[in-house]
Amino acid sequence: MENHLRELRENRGITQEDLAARVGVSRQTIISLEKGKYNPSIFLAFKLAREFGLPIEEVFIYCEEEK
Amino acid sequence: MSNKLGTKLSWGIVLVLLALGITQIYVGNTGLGTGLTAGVLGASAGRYIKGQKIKKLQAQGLNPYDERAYYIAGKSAYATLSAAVVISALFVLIGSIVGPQLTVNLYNFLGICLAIMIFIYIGFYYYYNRVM
Repeated sequence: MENHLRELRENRGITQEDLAARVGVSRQTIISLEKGKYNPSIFLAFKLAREFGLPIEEVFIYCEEEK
Repeated sequence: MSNKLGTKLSWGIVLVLLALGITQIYVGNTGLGTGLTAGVLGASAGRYIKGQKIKKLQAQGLNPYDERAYYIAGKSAYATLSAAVVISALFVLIGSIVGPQLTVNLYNFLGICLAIMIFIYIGFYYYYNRVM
């Protein structure tokens, strides 16, 4: 699953620490998500989408072929 | 159970297991003693390091909750199981071909196998934690 986390975060001028604190996870989790090395739980995905004020499908992109 | 009681209880178990391991080495069950001691030391060192890391993050005002933890633990467990199967298969294969007759204490042997598996698991956990 791909995502637009990094560009959304950078466009809003939020640091990884701030975003992590807002959604209640570690900075390491945000780093892995931005690198695309970890797919978040559905709860975290909704929290992140809500944080950016966007629908979940505009933050995370479903790919047929999983890496 | 409160957190403090849980911590005391787990450290108590660690000390008892460590004492058992050292006693086994002392009485001559080297394999079992070494396996038990190494396993306990490895597991408690990992737990201690994790605890210190959480305290450090909390002191910095950062959230220590890493959502990836269960995912990484699952991947590490699977990798450890795969490694154990491959190593065991090679051991049996080579042993069957060469055919040396070994006289080993079953419990010592299992103790060493357990310690090796714990170290392999810890290694995989740190590897996946680093690369993800």
